[in-house]
Amino acid sequence: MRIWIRRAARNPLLVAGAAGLVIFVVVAALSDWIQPFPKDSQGATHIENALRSPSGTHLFGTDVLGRDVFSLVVAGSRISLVAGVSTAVGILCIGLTLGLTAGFIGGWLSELIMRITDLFLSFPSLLLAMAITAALGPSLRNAMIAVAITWWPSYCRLTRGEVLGLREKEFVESARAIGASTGRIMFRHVLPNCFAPIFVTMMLDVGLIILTTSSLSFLGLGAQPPTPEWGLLVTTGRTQFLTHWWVTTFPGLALFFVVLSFSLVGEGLRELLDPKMRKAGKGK
Amino acid sequence: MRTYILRRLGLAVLILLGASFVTFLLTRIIPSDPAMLWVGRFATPQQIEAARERLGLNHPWYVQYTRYIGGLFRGDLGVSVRTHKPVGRELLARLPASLELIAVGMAVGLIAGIVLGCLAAARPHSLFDQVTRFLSVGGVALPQFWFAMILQLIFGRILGILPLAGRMDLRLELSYPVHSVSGFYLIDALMSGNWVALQDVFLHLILPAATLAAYPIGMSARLVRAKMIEVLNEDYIRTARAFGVHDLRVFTRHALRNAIGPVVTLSAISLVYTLVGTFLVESIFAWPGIGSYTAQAILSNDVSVILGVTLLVASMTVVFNLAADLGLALLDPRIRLE
Repeated sequence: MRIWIRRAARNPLLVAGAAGLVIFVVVAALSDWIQPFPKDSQGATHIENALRSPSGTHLFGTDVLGRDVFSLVVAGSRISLVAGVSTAVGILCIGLTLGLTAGFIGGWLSELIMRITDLFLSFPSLLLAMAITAALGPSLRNAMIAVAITWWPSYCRLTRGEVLGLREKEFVESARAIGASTGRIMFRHVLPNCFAPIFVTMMLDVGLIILTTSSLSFLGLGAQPPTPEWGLLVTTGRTQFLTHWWVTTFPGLALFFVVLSFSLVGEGLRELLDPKMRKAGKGK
Repeated sequence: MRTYILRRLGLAVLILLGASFVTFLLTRIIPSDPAMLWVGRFATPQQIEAARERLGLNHPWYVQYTRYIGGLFRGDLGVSVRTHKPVGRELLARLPASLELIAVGMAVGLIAGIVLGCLAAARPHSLFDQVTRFLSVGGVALPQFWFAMILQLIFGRILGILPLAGRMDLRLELSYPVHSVSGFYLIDALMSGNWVALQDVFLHLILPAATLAAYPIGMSARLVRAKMIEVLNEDYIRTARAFGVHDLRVFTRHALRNAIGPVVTLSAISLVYTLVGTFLVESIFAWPGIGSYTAQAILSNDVSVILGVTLLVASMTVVFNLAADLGLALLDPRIRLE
């Protein structure tokens, strides 16, 4: 364990990403206390204060409705964290269950699941998500559902691949020999063993899930005003962007920062777990 | 080889049928009524009924679907509910603008990514390597819609050296019109020797292309780096070095050729991502391509356009993937297509 920590500490990207994630989670958790103007993120407007440039009272300035951009960005962190993590959990539930079933049980059911997976993977996910949100009606919840529907197939494929490799291992054989049920073998013996690669991929993906959800909001298909969602904040500042840069710059920067942190951690973890990359590093 | 291509194409048709079916179902559950969109807000019930009849909405969904598929084989993608113009023609007219943007963005992105990846792999864990890795993760994590606006702000507004939006300056368009032959302004201006227009078109391309290039740069730099580090540790590289082959030649002839394979597969994925990226980026730069057209259509629930675009993008995805697999086989004689 200590070796792992030391090895992780030597990887500057992983450390930077982890630090970014800690900041993100802390800000999201304490968002109610950090916001200097908590009412602004709940829909209060002060037109007389509209479009003030950044200053001591308004760190990131104010938007066209006079709302404090700093408070909005801080409140947005919680929305993004909740949206990203809960969508990811949804994706994992669908992807893992179907992947396990396809890999472990096989037969026509596996064929069917994998063909559906192929069909979904042949679509660009953002396009499909756009079509689904258009069908369900624009809201943050529907955008999350749309992202989950378009994202599970890659996890289904990943899980199935892992399961196929594990199925013939001795410990599965012995579990079956002592009479464990198929369900028990699937969830207690096989599932925990294919978790590492899936977890790493998930770390990389949570950031991208947040990004996709925000992109949908940017297009007007996700969160609706006055929700302080980052993608939506970027759109609302669009019309005055060239003259009042702060309204869009800061929410976008926050989004970039969070997605980047997740990606750096995912990338760092992958390198940590991949012996090939480690060997190359040692050579130098 | 030929049977392989035929089988892949057959599979592609199946995938496209599936894709059209899924999208068709989706457009059926869209809460708005296409007939209402067709006639506008102030229509009488009779007019709405007439529109329903005209659009075939009174038939059961499977009749509508088979009619739609039948139309596809005649090259008919239906009519936009909002503008009453044929979707197919509209998409074709806008496709070159998007393809020009995508081609430039992808080319810049892939070349820059490959060069960065190689340089980083030459000295793994050096400062340059760390910076490249940071950039490559950053390029993928970048919110395109935000990056586009930041570029506009810096280069268009603050520095004032690049045009903010559009494909060509409006005044130049009148005084130095580009005679559209291929629809690709760069090529058209070049072929007709219209240098003033060429320069202007080029300047207009820089910012949107740079926005789209960020993703392929990140993806390819990361992949090339990882693959090159792996390949450079192989025995045959050491042998080549021992024989006194020049470093540059070892890199390009021996290492890169073996590391480039995954990049071909990846470029198909990047291409699709870039294509979808135009949905976000084109409307910011007022680029008259399919991206801005689609974003508009989705917001107004223009079902026939959504269907048409989905099919177009899905078929392009299938073609790109097939092209990547074939390209890989050409590049690497060890791969046999069965």
